[in-house]
Amino acid sequence: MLKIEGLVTYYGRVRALAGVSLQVARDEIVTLIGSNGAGKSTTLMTISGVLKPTEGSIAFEGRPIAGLAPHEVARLGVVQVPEGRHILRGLTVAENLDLGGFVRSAEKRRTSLARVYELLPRLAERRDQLGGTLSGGEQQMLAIGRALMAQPRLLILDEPSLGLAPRIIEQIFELIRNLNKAGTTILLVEQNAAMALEIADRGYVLETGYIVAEGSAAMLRQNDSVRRAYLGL
Amino acid sequence: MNLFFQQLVNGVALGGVYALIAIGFTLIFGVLRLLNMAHGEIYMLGAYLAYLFLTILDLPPFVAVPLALIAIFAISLLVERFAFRPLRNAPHFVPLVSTIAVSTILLEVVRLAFGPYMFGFDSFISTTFVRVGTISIGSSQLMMLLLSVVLTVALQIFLMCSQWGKAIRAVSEDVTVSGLLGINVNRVVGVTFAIGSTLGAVAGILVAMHFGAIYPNMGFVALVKAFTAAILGGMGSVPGAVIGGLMLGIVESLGAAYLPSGFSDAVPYVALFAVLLLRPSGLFKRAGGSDDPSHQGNPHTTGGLLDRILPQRGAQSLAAGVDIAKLIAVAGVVAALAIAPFLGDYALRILITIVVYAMMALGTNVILGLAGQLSLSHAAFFAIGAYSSALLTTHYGLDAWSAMAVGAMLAAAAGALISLVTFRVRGYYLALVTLAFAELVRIIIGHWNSFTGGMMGVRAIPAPRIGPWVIDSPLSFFYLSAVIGVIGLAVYDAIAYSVKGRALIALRDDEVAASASGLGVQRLKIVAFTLSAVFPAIGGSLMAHYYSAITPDLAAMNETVTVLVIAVIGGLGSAAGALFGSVIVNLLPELFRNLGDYRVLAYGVILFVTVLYQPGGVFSISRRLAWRA
Ligand SMILES: Nc1ncnc2c1ncn2[C@@H]1O[C@H](COP(=O)(O)OP(=O)(O)O)[C@@H](O)[C@H]1O
Ligand SMILES: [Mg+2]
Repeated sequence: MLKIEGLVTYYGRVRALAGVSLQVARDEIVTLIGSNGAGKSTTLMTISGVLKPTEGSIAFEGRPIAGLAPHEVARLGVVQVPEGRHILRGLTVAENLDLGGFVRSAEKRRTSLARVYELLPRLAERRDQLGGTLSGGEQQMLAIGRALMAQPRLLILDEPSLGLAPRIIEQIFELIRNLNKAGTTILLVEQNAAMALEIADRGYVLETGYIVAEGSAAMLRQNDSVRRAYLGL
Repeated sequence: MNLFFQQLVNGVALGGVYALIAIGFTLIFGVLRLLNMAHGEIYMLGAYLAYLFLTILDLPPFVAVPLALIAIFAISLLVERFAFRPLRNAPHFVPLVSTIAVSTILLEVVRLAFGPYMFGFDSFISTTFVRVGTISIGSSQLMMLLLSVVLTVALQIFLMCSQWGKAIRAVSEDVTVSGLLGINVNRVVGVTFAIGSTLGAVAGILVAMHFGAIYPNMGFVALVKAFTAAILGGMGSVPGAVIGGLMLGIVESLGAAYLPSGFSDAVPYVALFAVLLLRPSGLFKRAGGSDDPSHQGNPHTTGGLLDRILPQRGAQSLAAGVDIAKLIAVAGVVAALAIAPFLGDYALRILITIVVYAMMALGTNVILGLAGQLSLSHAAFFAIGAYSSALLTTHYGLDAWSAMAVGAMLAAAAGALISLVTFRVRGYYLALVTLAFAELVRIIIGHWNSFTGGMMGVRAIPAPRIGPWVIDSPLSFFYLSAVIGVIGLAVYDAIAYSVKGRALIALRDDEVAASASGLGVQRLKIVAFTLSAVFPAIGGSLMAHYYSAITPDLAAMNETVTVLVIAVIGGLGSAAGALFGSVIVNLLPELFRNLGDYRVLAYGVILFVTVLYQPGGVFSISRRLAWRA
C-alpha cells in the first residue's frame, strides 16, 4: 500500500533521514520505533508532504506521492495525527472534527461524524467546548477522531501515547487495534516500543536517520539489541 | 461639551474605518504571521483606483467601486503569490523586507502614474447632514459607519460559520496541521490576504470620500493606525481590531479638537507607543492563546536559509568569507582616494554620498546583521545627527566636531531609549515601532518651527574646520568623509569580531539560548541599539555640513528603505558589504541617468529581487565559496 525507498530529508544543512526504506501492506499495523531524534517524525512529515525529500521515492498504492502538497496527500487518504496532537485550540471540538473532514463532502462528513461520536462518546459530550480546554487524553482522542473524519485508508499516528496516563494509553491502543480490525491500515510511530510491538504486525527500528532493523513484531521483540535499547530488558 | 460630543461622533465614524483597515491587517497577520507593511499602500491604491475609475474614466459609482475592489483583490493575490509565498519559510525579517519592497514599489508606481500631489476626491454620494440636536452627522460618516458594521458582521459570520472561514481560522492557528487535514494552505493564505487587502481598500475609498482628498503617502499613517488598533485589540483577533479601531478613532478626533494643530498628527504614533508600553498583548488576552505574537518569529523557520543569509556562525567562517570582499573594499577606497583630485565636483558629491550612506548601512549592520533586531529607525538617527550639527553650529556657536559628538551622543541616547521601550518587542513589532519612531521624529522636526525651522529646515550650516583649514571644497570634504568613513568601517569590523560582537550574533541566532547562557540580553540589546544609532548620526552630521542646508525629509521613510536596500544588497553584517551596497545604490542611478523619477521605484525592485533571489547580498556567493574552501 505504502512503499518508501531511499528517503533522504534535510533540515537546511542537517540531514535527518539518510535513506529510509519501508513498506506498509494493506490492513497491517506497522510500527516505526526509535529513540528521540532518530527521525521518526521527519519520516512521517515527509510522507505527508510537509517536508520535501531530496532523494528517494514514496508511493501510495503504486502512485508516486513525494513532492505532493500536504492537502493533496491527505486527499488521497493518507492522514496523519501529528506528534503533540495539534488540536486547534481556538476552535470547538465539533469544528475541529468538521475540519478533519475538510476533503470530504458535507454528506460524508455527517456520516463520519456520527461514527466518530459513537466511537468516542467523550467527544460528543464536549462538542461545543473549545479544543484548548480538553485534557491531554481527550485531545488525543480528538486528534484521532479528527483524522478519522477524513475516512483515511492509511492512518499515520505519531506518538499517540506521549504524555498520557497509562490507563488512557491502554484505551488509545485499544482504539487503534479496533480501527485496524475495521479495515484501516496503520503506521504507528512510538517511543513506547513494548506496547507498539505488542499490537503491530511488523516493525522498523530507526536510528539517526537509518533503518537499523526490521521484521515481524514477534521477531523484533526477541532481537537482542532491540530488547536492550528499546525494551529496557 | 457640544464639541466633545460632535468629536465623539466623528471619532466613532472614523474608528469604524480604522477598524476595517485593522481587520484586514490582523487577518493577514493571522494566516501569514507577517506584519504586512504594504497594507497601507493597498489602502492607498484602493482609493486611487476608485479615483481612476470614477473621475478619470467617468464610470458610474456602482461600476467603478466594485471594479476597484476586484482589481485590488486580484493585485493582492498576485502580491501574495509572488512576493510572500516564496519566502514563507525564510527567517522573519526576509518576508518583512519583501513587504517593504512591495510597499515601496506600489507607492512609487502610484506617485509616477498620478504625480506626488494631492487630488480632490469627489464623493459619489450626495453630501448631506443629519442633525441630532446640535450634533451633525455627514452622509459620508453614516456610510462609513454603516459599511464598517455590515462588513465586520459579514466577515465574522463568514469566519465562524462557513467551511472556508473555519479553514482560515485553522491556518491562523497551525499551518502544519491544516495541511495535514487536507486544507490547501496556499490557497487559504492567498484568499485571506486578498480579503484583508480588499477590506483595507474599502477603508481607503471611504476615507478618501470623507476627507475629499487622496495623496500617495496616505498609506503609511493608515498602516500605523491599523497596527495600533490591531495590537490594542490583540493581534490576530477580529473583534479586538474593531474595538481597537474605534478607540483610536475617538482618541484621534478628540485630539484634533483639543491639541494644537500639527501635533494631532502625532497622536497615532503616541498611541502606538503607549499601547506597546502598557499593553503589548492587547487589552484582552485571548482565551487559550498562551502565545504572545510579539514574541513569535516565523513558526516555520528552518536553519538552512538563515545560514545562507546571515554571516556564518563562528569567527573563522566569517573571516574567511569576508576577506575577499574586504580586499576589494580596501583597493576601492585606495583607488578613490588616489583619483579624487582628478574628479569634478559632481563625482565627488557622489563619493561623499556613498560614504554617508555606507555609515548609515553600518548602523543597520549592527542592529540587524549582528544582533538580528529588525529596527528601522536609522533615518531618525540620521536626522538627529544632522539636526544636532545644524542647530548647534548655527544657533549655539559650537564647532562642527563638538556638534558631531553631541549629535552622536543624542542619537545613542535615543537608541538606548528605544531599546528600553521596545525591550519585550521583537521581529515585525519592532520593525513597525521603530519605523513609527522615525516618522514621529520627522513630524516633531517638521512642526517645531521655532526650534528646528519646521518644514523649511536649517540653512547656512558652516563648514567644519581643522585647525586653520576650512573644509569647504568638495575635494577636501571628500577626504574628510573618507577618513571618517574608513574609521567607521574599521570600528564596525572591530565590533563584529570582538567578544561583544560574538555575543550579539549569539543573540541574533537564538535569543532564548543567548539569555540561557547568561548573556545579559537586555544589556546586549542596549549596546546594539546604541551603537547602531551612532553610525547614522555621524553620517547625518557629515551630510548637514556638506550640503549646508537640511530639511525634515532626512527622517523620511524612503531614507530608511534606501539604507535597508544598501545593507541587504551588500550582504547583512559585513562592513565591506555596507560600502559595496552604498556604491551600487548610489552609482546605479548615475549609470542610468535617465532613470530620474524612477529611482526609488528601482530601489524597490532591486530590494525585492535581492530578497527573493540573492538574500545574502551580492557577496554571499563568494562568501559561500570561501566557506567551503
Ligand atoms: N524543524 C527542524 N529543524 C532542524 N532540525 C530538526 C527539525 N526537526 C527535527 N530536527 C532534527 O532532525 C532529527 C530528527 O528529528 P525527528 O524526526 O523529530 O525525530 P523523532 O521524531 O524520531 O524524535 C533530530 O536530530 C532533530 O534535531
Ligand atoms: Mg518525533
